[in-house]
Amino acid sequence: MKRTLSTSFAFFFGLVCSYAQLIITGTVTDETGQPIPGVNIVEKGTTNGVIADFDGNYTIQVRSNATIAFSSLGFKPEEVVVDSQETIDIILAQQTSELDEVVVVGYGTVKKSDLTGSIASVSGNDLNQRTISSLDQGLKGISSGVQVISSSGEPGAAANLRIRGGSSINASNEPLYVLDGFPIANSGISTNLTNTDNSSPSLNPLATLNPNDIASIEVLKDASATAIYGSRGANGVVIITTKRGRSGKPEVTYSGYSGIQTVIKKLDVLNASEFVALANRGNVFSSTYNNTVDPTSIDPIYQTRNENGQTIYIVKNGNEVTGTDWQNEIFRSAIIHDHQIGIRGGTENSTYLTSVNYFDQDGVVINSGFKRLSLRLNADIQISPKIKVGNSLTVTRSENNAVFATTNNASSSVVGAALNMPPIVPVFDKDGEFAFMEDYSVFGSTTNNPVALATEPRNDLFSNRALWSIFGEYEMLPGLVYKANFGMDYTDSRRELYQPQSYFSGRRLLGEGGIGNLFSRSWLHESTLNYTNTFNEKHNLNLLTGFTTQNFFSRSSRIVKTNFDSDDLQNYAVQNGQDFNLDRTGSAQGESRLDSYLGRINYDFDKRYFITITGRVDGSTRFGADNKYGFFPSAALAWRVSEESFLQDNESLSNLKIRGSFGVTGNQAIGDYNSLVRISTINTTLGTGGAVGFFPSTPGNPDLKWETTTQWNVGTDIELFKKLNMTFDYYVKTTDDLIFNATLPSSSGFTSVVKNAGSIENRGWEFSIDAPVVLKEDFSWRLSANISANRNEVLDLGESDEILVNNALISEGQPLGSFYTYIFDGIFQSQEQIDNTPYAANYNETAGNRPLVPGHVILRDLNGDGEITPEDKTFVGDPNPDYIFGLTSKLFYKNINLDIIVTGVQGIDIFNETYRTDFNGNLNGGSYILNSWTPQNNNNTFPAATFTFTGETRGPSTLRSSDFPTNRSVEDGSFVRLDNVKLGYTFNNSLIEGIQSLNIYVSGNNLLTITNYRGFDPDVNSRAGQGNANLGRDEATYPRAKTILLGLNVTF
Amino acid sequence: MKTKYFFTLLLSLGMILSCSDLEEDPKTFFQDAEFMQTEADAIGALTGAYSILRSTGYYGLDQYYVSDMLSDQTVTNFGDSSLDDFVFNSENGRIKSVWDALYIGVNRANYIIERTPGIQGKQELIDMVVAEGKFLRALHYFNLVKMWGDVPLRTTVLTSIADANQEKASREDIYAQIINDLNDAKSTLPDEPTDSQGARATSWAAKSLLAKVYLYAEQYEMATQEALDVIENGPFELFGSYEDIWLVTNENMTEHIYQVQTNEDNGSGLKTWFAPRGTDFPGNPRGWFHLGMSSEFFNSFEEGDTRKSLLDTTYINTSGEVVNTNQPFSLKYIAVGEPAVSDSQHNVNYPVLRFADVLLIHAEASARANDAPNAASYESINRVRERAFGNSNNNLSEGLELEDFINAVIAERNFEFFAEGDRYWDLTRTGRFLNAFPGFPVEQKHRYLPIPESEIISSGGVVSQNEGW
Repeated sequence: MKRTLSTSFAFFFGLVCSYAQLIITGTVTDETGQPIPGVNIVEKGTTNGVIADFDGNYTIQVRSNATIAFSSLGFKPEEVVVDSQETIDIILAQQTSELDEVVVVGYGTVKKSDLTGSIASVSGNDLNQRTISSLDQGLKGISSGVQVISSSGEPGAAANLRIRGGSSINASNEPLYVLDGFPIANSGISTNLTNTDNSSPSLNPLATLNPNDIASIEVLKDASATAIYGSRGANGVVIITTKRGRSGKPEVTYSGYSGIQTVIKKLDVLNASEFVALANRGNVFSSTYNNTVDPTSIDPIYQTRNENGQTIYIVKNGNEVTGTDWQNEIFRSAIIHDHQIGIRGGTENSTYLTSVNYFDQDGVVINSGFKRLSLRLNADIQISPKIKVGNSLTVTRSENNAVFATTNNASSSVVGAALNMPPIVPVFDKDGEFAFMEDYSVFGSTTNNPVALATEPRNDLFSNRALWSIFGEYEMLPGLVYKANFGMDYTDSRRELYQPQSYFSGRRLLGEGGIGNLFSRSWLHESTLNYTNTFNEKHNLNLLTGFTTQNFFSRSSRIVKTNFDSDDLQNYAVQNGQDFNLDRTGSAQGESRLDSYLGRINYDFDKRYFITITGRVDGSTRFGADNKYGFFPSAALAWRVSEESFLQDNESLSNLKIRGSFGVTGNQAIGDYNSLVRISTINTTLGTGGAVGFFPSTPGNPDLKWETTTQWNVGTDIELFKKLNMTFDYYVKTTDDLIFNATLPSSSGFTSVVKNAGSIENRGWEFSIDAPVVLKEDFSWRLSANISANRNEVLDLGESDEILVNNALISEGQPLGSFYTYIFDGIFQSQEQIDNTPYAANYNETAGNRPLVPGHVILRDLNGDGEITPEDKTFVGDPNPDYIFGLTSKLFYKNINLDIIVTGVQGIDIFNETYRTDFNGNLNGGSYILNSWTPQNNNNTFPAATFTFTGETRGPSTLRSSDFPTNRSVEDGSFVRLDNVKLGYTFNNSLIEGIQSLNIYVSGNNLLTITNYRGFDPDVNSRAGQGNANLGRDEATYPRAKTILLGLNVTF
Repeated sequence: MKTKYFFTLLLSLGMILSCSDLEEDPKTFFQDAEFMQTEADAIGALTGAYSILRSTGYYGLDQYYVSDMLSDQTVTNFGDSSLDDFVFNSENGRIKSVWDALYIGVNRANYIIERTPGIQGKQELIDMVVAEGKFLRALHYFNLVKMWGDVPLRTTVLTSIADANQEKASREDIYAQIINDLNDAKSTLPDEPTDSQGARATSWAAKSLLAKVYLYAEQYEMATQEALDVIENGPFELFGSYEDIWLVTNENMTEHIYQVQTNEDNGSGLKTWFAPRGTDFPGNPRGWFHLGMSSEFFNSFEEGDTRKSLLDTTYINTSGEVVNTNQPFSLKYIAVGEPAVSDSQHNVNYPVLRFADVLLIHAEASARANDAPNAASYESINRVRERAFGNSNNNLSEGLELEDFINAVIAERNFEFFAEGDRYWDLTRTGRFLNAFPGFPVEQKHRYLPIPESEIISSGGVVSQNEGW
């Protein structure tokens, strides 16, 4: 009644005055007639606006002849000119073209059609198609230009992301992760308590975030997109947006899965029978190589005997064993399951989303696993049409039951020990205790009992993380919005370690127990002003300026003691350990801050010509005194050719955009305090008792600064028939001022200093295509594919020419991490051949009682100087891939959906250290060694088996592969993998009362790998934590699993 | 409007968070400018300078490892056979480890020599710390020149990384620097160690080292003179028996002139490298046996030489069984009957200088200085032999030619100092190394070790490789 009255008044006055006010009411619905709540309804050209209520109803007072604009996320905006209607009911069409999608960029959003930079978007659904414990794993194969390398198959382990190649030698190569506007700390959570023999992997910080909460991920690749993140943008930026609430009735969802994981393969190693045969053969060879001993006079080292059809092996001290398959002993079928309950809803003014998730993954190696419980609450409140506040909070608890799996010494990792431990050692000895190698092998205990190493130590990492950000937005003037954002990220983790005396490593320490705590904290404040306006209908302008400051703090402490009287109380009572491990007892603290000023101009003329200019000034405490502030600018141009008049009517070419960008970004992931002259301390003694000594440990570098990456990018986006999308980009990325832990000549008094020197180039292209092959009502099939090629080259290393890192040499003109070894030239077949080999003759003549004999490896004397010296090493492989690609197929038929992901890498080399090429009687090796050289078997690949331990009697020199690494260890790691197949069925919503939708599926991860690689898995990076110089190494890494699972999604 | 104030508050809060400048303020270590102010700082830095002696690269292991592995006393079945077999090259990790430790030592010594005079403190303390720094610097450079010959000579702390590369100096200049430092040190250092445990250098340590330096520098008269000073005026005498030298209870006394210290909390890991392989050696949970002794050496002891008792080929294991190792092993660093410091450490001091060394330096230098041994030369060598044999029956009789006498002294040093990192350098300084290893590819280049390849690369070639390498 009242409404009618006021409307009548308005109508009445409207007759009198042309600026009279009208009151319009109406309902907004979608194409199916469902009301749309929360639609923004604005009188154009004014600040007058309202929001549709829960049932899509609205009332707005406008001037006559006004234009009313309706807009809502996910729908095409509509405009209606008010004539004299009282009621305007409007139907908003859902957005279908990708071009209208909104893309999250740094400090804002942009319509995809307006993008000038190179940005790849991944939806939460695509990210979570595979079972993943962290979001980095979900990006594999589905985003061009992003290489995802697994460091380990251990639950909770980190994956390495390389966006457009690796650009740094010593600083981090990982992208910056920005979660709901908060740049999160991303260094590994590690409080290592063990020595280098048994080290524990650091926990992937991303594993503390629940991937099910993610709505979308944007990968920012070119400088135009990343320069707004300044000194942290050089490795690309991954922007993560979590799901938020929406207006409407509360919606409750449950999604969960449960599955079983198995190792994708086992390596074929010598069994007990083969091992004994080879040991005995090696013993004969080592004893008779100089032809002075009759081979038939040599007693076998180990005997065999048949009993009741079973072969018994008589080993050291007369112990009798039946043989052990160590891989069977340590691998298992492991359960994985995940459960998530989410509730979302809201009124027209406030929305919320809350979720709880439990993820539990057992590892395929016994006694390993990872659990995570996470909670999330996201809320948004529109206080008034001009003021909005929001909140994102997530709290997680994770527990990582780790096994020793990351190590520089394969014998001390569980998997490495299983491959190395001779099969003649049983799991348990006669007394039912864990067997020690020394009781069965004449070599003594050179490796740990793998089962004991997996099950006996306590090695747990508990981690609590809270990530909270709140923001407020205030529209100060039409188009001018001030936004303040506060955030904090707290992580508190504790590692518990106890190594009991029931296995080799623990016994020699008489028990080792420790506790390590790590607390880290980051605070963020951001203030931005954003101004958007359109002038003269065709000039669209968006300005952004802002100030941010972020503070990082970490504090760690650890205590490790050894020599425990009893293993019973473990490290729960570290005070029972009698000796401190002083090297691993102590505390550390680090703090840094980044103050930044940023700005961006987006301008386009008539949606045809686009220009973006950004700049950021970063000041960091980490930079040296002479270089506190860095400036990182970028500029980009784009031309939407398809909007030009000559193409506008072209039906087939619905979009054609040409883009180009140039900009400078930085990398400041260099750690704290590296520019300072540091006086370090050492625990020592000056006679009685202990004493603390002080000494200068670094010379300091006041010039230290960020790494500078300059990137050019040209690209094009094409859409055909409004459905087939293609994107192509070409880039050249040059990184200068590399942060080097540069080796100093020790004669300077210091061994290294952190400094800027040298440059690296990455250049490459990326292509992606997304095509709906079939689009019918009950049958659709969509294919997407991407392929990227990156070429990496070290351009300059400053004053030094090359850096040797293990078996890789960083050298100018070579890709980073290139393998550098001797060349394997076969096996000496005869004494005559040895006599004709200059270096061998030289060696033989002078090598005392260790001559070269037939059966030895031939190394190529590359420089022909008649000697084998380090100068004979050369480049033998490149761990950087030539191409990476991915293919995604999505098929719907009626209620059935079938999703397939195929991923692949081509042209990559791996340094396979699990592939042992020699046998000396001590450790186990691959079955192929059985075929090694003997006087009768002229094998040209594997040297004669030896038995080097014979007391004073010395065998021939063994040319051990560790002393003389050769190209034999380098293998092609190319692969094509059927990464995921997911078959689902969606029930009609009418099926069960109260259930809106129900989807069940069966999914298989990591199902099939086509490769020539001989290790467990070509997707490997054992030394992931050690930077880019150690790429592509396989040191018996924890293998990844194949998973089959059953899942369920329900919406109530 | 309240919200406006709220946002203003937010903005100003953000400004406050960032109001301080961007200086770093580390809490867990000192920056350069904060340190070296007080006497305590100077003693701390001095402790840091001494601590390098215990490091793995130095007396902690690799200095012995490289020296003994190269000698004709050892044979390895488990260790770095490239050193044992003379097929090592400039990339050898152990050699680099020694090189690095020695120069880090030089730097720490330079630091106290340079910075201690600037502290607020008593002049005597300052003088003594500086003198100890000079002793240490001399010891490091002596090891460097003895092992590598020409090496870079640096006597100040690096202040700018632009000056990190420095060319090698000649052996003569290095020796001159060492002799200067030791002359300074011996006049300032006390006769009794400042620390009752003998960790810190005395004037006698400086004089004894100086005698050895003169011997290596072939300044025999000076060597004789310094050695004689220690013999005649010093408080030292030989232990009654050779085994007494190695008793933990006898450390820092009688015969010991300078030892690197260990104690019940800070042990020596040397024993694991010399002990038989395995875990059943009594009181010795772990033995790597990298440095096994050769049977030839074991069998070359004269009848009645008690020094052989520090070598063995069998032991009684933890189960009470007799174990034959098939290869002799040295007992010098195994504290039999003493509690282990840890599974890999025993509390046996590292030998650096002992009185027997001074006696043999004197014997050799006095003979060389006069082109013939004199009575004093005989007396010195025979004091060592008498202790070794327990009587004077095996004393060297007078009347030897110089060459024969020198041969006798070098042989005596071989038996007296086995497994003490001395032998190979006796062979190189006397040129005997070329013929001491029949069947091994020993060449003239082995007179000195190769400069570590990393040193040449990281200095951009400014530090040049030694001849032949």
